[in-house]
Amino acid sequence: MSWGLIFATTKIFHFSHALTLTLAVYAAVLAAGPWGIGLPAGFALAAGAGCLVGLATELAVYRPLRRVHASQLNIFLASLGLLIAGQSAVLIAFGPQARTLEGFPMTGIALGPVAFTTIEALWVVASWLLIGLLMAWLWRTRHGRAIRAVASNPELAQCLGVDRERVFLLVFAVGSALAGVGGALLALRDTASPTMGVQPVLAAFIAVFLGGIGSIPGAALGGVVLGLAENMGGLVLPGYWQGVIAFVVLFVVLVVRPSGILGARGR
Amino acid sequence: MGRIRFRAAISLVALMAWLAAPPPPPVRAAGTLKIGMILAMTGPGAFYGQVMSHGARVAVDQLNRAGGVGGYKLELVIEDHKSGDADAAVTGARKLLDVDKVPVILTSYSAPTLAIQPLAVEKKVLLLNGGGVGSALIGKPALYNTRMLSSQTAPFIIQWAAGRFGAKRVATLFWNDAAGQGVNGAIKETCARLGCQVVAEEPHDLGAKNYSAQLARIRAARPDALALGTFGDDVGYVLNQARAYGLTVPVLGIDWTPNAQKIGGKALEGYVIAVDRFDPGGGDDKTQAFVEAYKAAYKETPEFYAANYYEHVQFILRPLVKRVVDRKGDPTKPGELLAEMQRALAEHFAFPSVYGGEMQLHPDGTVTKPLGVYEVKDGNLALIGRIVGGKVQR
Repeated sequence: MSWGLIFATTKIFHFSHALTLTLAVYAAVLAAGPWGIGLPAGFALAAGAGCLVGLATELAVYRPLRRVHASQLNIFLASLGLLIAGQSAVLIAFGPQARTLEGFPMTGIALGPVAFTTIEALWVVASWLLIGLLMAWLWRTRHGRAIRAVASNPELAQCLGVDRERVFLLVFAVGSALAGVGGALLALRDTASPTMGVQPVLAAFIAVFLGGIGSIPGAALGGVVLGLAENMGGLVLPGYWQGVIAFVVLFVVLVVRPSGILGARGR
Repeated sequence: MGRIRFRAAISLVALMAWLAAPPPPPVRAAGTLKIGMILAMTGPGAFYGQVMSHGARVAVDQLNRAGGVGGYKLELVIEDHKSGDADAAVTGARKLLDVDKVPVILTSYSAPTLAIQPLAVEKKVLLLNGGGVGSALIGKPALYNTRMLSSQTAPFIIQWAAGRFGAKRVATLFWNDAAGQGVNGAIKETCARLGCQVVAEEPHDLGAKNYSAQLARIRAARPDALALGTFGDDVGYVLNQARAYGLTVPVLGIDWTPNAQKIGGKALEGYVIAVDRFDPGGGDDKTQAFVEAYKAAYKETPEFYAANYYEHVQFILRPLVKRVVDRKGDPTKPGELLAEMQRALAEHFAFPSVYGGEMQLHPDGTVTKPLGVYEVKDGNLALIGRIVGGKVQR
């Protein structure tokens, strides 16, 4: 959802979202570990750090590039470069060892033949809660309507007095804060490492294209379809095929419905 | 005016003398022996690259401070195989061989090592591997492994499980690469020999964090032991999730690291491994000299990955270089170190080891080090069985 929100509104292929997520998670790890201020504060710090990194990326990289009329490809390459440089900086600063985000116990829950963990249960609850809050904000507030207007038709939105640059800043702030919280949730089970952001952002790309480019609810639906396909597919195919399953599903959806599940037809 | 003419004449004479003088003899290249390394410096295995390079660097610094080896200063040149990417390893090896002209490469991981081995043969370069454990690494010309390979260690975990609690149904979960496949193959072979059955075989990607699909299938197969062909941090993630998903059977493996312990925590209690274990608190004087030097340089206790690459430089390359120099050879020339290694093995040369005593390097590229069965108890490895004459003894 966080990447989908940014992409749907700004049309920037924001690959360094992976760096935002990583830096935010390291902030949470420091907060919950060495600084000892607890996991809830760690989550708040992850959201704050993500927000700041996202804003800095927009202000220092993307906005100057837009001002010199850089192409989408140039902006994507800048984003990729920022990610690679940032990952190296994280590697130097924190070392290559995986760091655990402690404070939430992982125990098993068995419902008949279905087994899952407390962390996975937290993921489901927290994800749907955040999605619900985001949807409510986007559909019921003035700022949310402005974002949807820019995502839908930026020229018309500007004609109606919506400041496109301010909306861009807003989606980078909100989307990056969400990435920070999502990353911290992920790190509860998977730990923090310099390259941890790439896999979730790749999954986000696929989910956004599955759900329909430009559709924010589509990004959520795409994520659900992708997750189900990977995990249900894992029951009949070897587990390491999950990545392949994701791309096969994307391929099928794009062939059958090129605009994605909830994408607008005939644009 | 006269003074100017005089100065001009002097300058002209000096210029002509300089032009006429024979060129100075070329400065003899400083006696520097470059040691190539191809390690996982980036990617999910960057931790291994870091500690392996640290281990080698401690040895290089020690030797250079003592004046070098046979008059040669040592220099490390490190390339990155990006945590197991064979293409990146070949690119790095070409640079080391064609640009840096190294006579020896210290390598890690099975797939990158196998990918660069033909290049090493072509250029007559010695290859030392202290990380990869795939059984495909045996019997490869120019390649010598200083870590016991999966086919040497994995049979003992099955032997232990069969002897200890009569394991009849074994499931395997392993890296989907040469190392993991090697462990899986060795387990299947041993099971067939001891009369147990492999009821589930689940490969996974290196550095995977989610094992839910594999563990669900393993649970469904109702094994009475789970054997891992998984290494490094992945062991911690697997154990954590296996226990959380309710898999309570004994888990066996051939790898354990303090970082995996940190990740897995209490889930690793009772995890049993068969391994040639480096004990930083044990060994002999040379073990302690290494541990102290490593701690002084990096403020942490070395792992066996660091120990293996320290050994490469300190206890394999140092004697080989000295032997080449003693017979008036040039160890920087390709082929010299490789040929000397073969000569040393033919003479049954004893290479010391920081594992204590000596390691036995064999002409087929394998090594024999003290091997034992260990169990994780209170977050540490406790010896629960020695391996003597191919049998586990409690």
